[in-house]
Formats: sequence, structure tokens, C-alpha cells
Amino acid sequence: MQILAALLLLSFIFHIVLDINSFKNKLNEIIQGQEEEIYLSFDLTSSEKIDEIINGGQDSIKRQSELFEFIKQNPSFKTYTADTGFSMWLSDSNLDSSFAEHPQWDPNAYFLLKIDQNFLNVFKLKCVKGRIFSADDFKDMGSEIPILLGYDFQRYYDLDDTIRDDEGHSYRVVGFLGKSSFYLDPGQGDTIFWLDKAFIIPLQPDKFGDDTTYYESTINRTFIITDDKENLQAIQEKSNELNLYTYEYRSFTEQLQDILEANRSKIMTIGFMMTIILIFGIIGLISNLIQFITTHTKEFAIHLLCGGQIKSITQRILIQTFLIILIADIIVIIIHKFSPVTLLTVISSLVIGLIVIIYPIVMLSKTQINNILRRSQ
Amino acid sequence: MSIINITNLHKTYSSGESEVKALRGLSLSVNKGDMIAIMGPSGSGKSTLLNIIGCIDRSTNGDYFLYDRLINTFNDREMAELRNEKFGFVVQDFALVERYNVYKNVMIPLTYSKKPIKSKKDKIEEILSKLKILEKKKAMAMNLSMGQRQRVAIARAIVNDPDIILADEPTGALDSDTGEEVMNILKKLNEDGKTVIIVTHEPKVVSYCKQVVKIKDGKVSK
Repeated sequence: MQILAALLLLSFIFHIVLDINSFKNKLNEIIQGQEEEIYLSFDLTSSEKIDEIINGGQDSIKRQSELFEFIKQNPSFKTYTADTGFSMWLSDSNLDSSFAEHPQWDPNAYFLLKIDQNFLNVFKLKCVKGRIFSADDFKDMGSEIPILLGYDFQRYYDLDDTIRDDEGHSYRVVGFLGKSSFYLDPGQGDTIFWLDKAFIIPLQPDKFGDDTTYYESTINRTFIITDDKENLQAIQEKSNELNLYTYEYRSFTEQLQDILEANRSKIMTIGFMMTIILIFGIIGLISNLIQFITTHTKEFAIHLLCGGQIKSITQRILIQTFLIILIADIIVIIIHKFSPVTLLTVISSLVIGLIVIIYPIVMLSKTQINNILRRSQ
Repeated sequence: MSIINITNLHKTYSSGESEVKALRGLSLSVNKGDMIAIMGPSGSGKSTLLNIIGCIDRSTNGDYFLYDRLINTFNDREMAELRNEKFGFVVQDFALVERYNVYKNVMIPLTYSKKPIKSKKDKIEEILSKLKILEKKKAMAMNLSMGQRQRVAIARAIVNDPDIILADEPTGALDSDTGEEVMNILKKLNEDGKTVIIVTHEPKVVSYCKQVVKIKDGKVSK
């Protein structure tokens, strides 16, 4: 049990380390792909204020629209928007459950990403079939909304197919993204958002209409690309002037450092627990093996007397030890499937197994058969 | 025909700085079909000699030929094969695995055997029947009487059809009637062609043997 617990914790550490490394590399790619720093906003507005803005009617919409325009049309800095605040609702699709965002409680809700044109430049999305969004796709042309589908949708849709959501919107499939396309939002933790099962639509502010939640969601998920912190100050001042949101801006680099620090602490905590459990587990296993050898000395002696060899006893101990480790590995495989995490955990478990058997095997190999026989009598 | 030839055999046990010379230049020859009693006082080297003959232990010096093959040069695997194929062991405390039943105890040598045996089950049952303990085949070793235990030990010793039976104080833990039964079994095995070497200090046991070898201070005294 202790070995199983230690291996599970170890697998979680590998999982965290591999995930965070992958996230760090991808985020660094994005950061280095830009000439200036990318900033994300944390909304510090009080909930009462948010309620007031959302229920503020036409006046609120006007103010939010002004703030939105200020941010998006500002010549002093660039931006991109990636809004995941809404889902795609499809009741009559035949997509399998792995596509649903939360299959247990919302089987008809699918991952939806609304993007602006500059998002495509930052994340360099490419299509394997069809085309990426053009400038016209971001304007409300009054007809079907163009939609990009993740790689895995190719089994279900073709180019130019029309998809109707539960709200009556029609989407026309214009392309399928390359496999393992992704985007990152370090404001939402260290998750890599894989787009293979995502619907991606162009952000069309003309369609926001009277719905204040569209503005709130879009402004919050608009990222500022600038090296001049005064631009961030200017956005906040504009927001204050319009009696809207309170933001705290953090650069991707700062946010990445925070995420790495948080993960480091997490790894340290789990690592400490794992080390303690592993030490007890290894000591326990070695003691059990030594006890097993001691209590079975007579049996071993009889087997040796009848033609057995120390080698066959050693094999028995090896099988016994590695059976425990195999069971633990199987549970790790069930949890993590076949992945680099599993591979690293299995390799580590073999090392642990070797550490465990070294002393009992040396003890056995140094024992002469006549000594065992004499001791057993 | 001599099957065991031992010349100038020495065995020294080291324990820390002290040394115990168990055998000091012992020479012995055993012919096929012999039934030999090895006698001698405690510490004279009887059991050490038996262990070396049975390939359980190695000599420090001297030559040991078994069927004209020099055993001194054999590795652990070859020694184990000899223990399995050529020897059957019967010891004073029976050396049974208490948590095994009779059948499983007798099965042990066959587990390591390379001899072609048609049916291990039939072979075990045949031996158990011969030794009149077939009805006990499912009984746990720990639930048997002393006499039954020694019969099981003998069954295990002969199940792989070895040429030589090595018995170390085979009647030491038995009452006289049961001891007599066991000796009759060993005698019968000898009559059937097995070579039997018995370490004992009981004159009654000696009376069953064709030849007596007395050991004193690690050497054959007569």
C-alpha cells in the first residue's frame, strides 16, 4: 500500500512537472513571438458593481462599448481577444460524449472560443482543410457565421456544412484546424487549451446588441500587447471615467513565474509526502522480505536439498517484490493511461524494486546451503 | 564397482578468527549397492562428510570423485543437479515443509528434475503406496506422527529415483519400533539396488548395514 501510494504521488509529480514544462515552453514560444510584452487582466470589480453594470441597460452598454472601442481601436498598443466565456449548445448533434465540455452535467455544451483577427497572428493557427478566418469574417454580414472546427471534427462535418445551435444561430464550416492546435491563457492557470475538439468563431462586436454580458466577457478576455505600462494605466483611467471595471494587469512573464512558483510549492509538498511514504514503504518492504527469508529458511533449505538453487529462491523473491510493484504500476497506468508520466513512473518503480531487493539478495547469495541447513535444524 | 572415491579430504570451517578442522585428510571408497554406517563421536566430522558426499558442502582440500567425475570443480548449478538426480536425503528432523501437505512435500524433487517422468502424480502415488502412506497424501505435514513424517521424508528421498540414499541419524527422533520400520525400509531400498550411507551412533542401526566406517578427529579410524 505504501509503495502504491508513493508511486501514485510520484506519478502526480511527473504529471505536474511534464505538464508545467510543456505549458512553460508553449507560453515562452508565444511570449517570444511578440515584440512586446503581453498583459492579461484580472477583474477586481466588486460583485455589486458587476451587477450594476450588467443591469445598467442602454447606458451601461454604451459605456462598455466605449471602453471596448478604446481598448480595441487604440493606436498606442495592440490587443488580441480569446473569449471562452460561452459554450456552443447543440442538442441534436451526433458528436460523441468526448466532445462535450462537461459530459456528466452538460452533455450538449461544447467548447467555444471566440477570437479576433490578431489572435490568429499570435497563436499562428493553421488549417489542414479549408481556410483560416479572413478580415471579412469578423464583420457581421448578416448571414451564417463562419466557423473553424478542431481537427477531431472531421469525422462529423465537411467544409461548407451548416451547424445550427440551440439559440438559432447558423454557422458555416470554413476550415479544420491542424492537429494539436492550442491556445493559452495563463490567467486561467497552467492549462493548455487543446483545440482539437473546439468550435472557433470570429468575434463580431456588431452582434453584441443589447447583451451587456458579451462586453463584460470580451473586455475581460482581451489581452494587451505593449511594453508601455502607461497604456495599461490609460485603460484603467478610461474604465474609471466610464464608471466600469477595476483591473489589475499582469504580464505573461510575471504570471508564468507565479504559476511556476505555485507548482514548485505543490511539487515540494507532494515530493515531501512521497519521500516519507517511500522511505517507510522501502523499509517496510525490505523488512518483509528479510522476515520472509527468515521464516522460510527451512523451506528454502529443503528445496536446496532436493535440487533447488539459491537462484530459484532469488527468483521467487524477485517475483514477489515485482508483483507488488506491477500491481502499483497497473493502477498508475489505469489512472494516467499510457503516457510519458506512466513510463517515468514505471522506470522509477523498477529502480525502487531494485533498491528493495539489493540487501535481501546479497544476504541470500552470501549464504551457503549447509549454513541454511544447519540454521534450519 | 566404486561409485564414490574420496582421497585426503579436508574441511575447515572459519568463524571469525577461529578455525575448526572438521575433516583432516579423510579417504573413503563406496561401491554401488553398499549399505554403509558412518559412526563416530559428536564433532568427529560425520555430518560434514555426508554433506560433502551429498554435494551440500564443498571440501577445502582433497579430491571427491562421484562416478569418476571430480566434484571439486563443479559449479553451484551442477551441484544442485547432482543433489536432485543422484541423491536422496533423509535427516533426523525429517526436513518436511510443515505448511505443505504430504503430496506437495514429495513433489519437491520432481519440481527440479530433468528426468523424463510420464506422470508425476502417478509416480508420487506409487511411492506413497509403497511406503503405506497413500491415504495421508492430502494431510498437512504438521499433522503427521513421527513415523509417518519419516516415511514421507523417505518417499521424497526416493521419488526422483536416485542412486544413493544419504541418511543422517534417520532414527534419531523415532521410538524403537518406528525406527525399526524405517531401517527396514532403508534395507529394502538397498536390496532393490540403492546405495545407502547412514550417519548414526546407534548400534541397532549399524546392525542393518553391510559395512561400518568409524570416524575420529576428521579421519577414518578403521
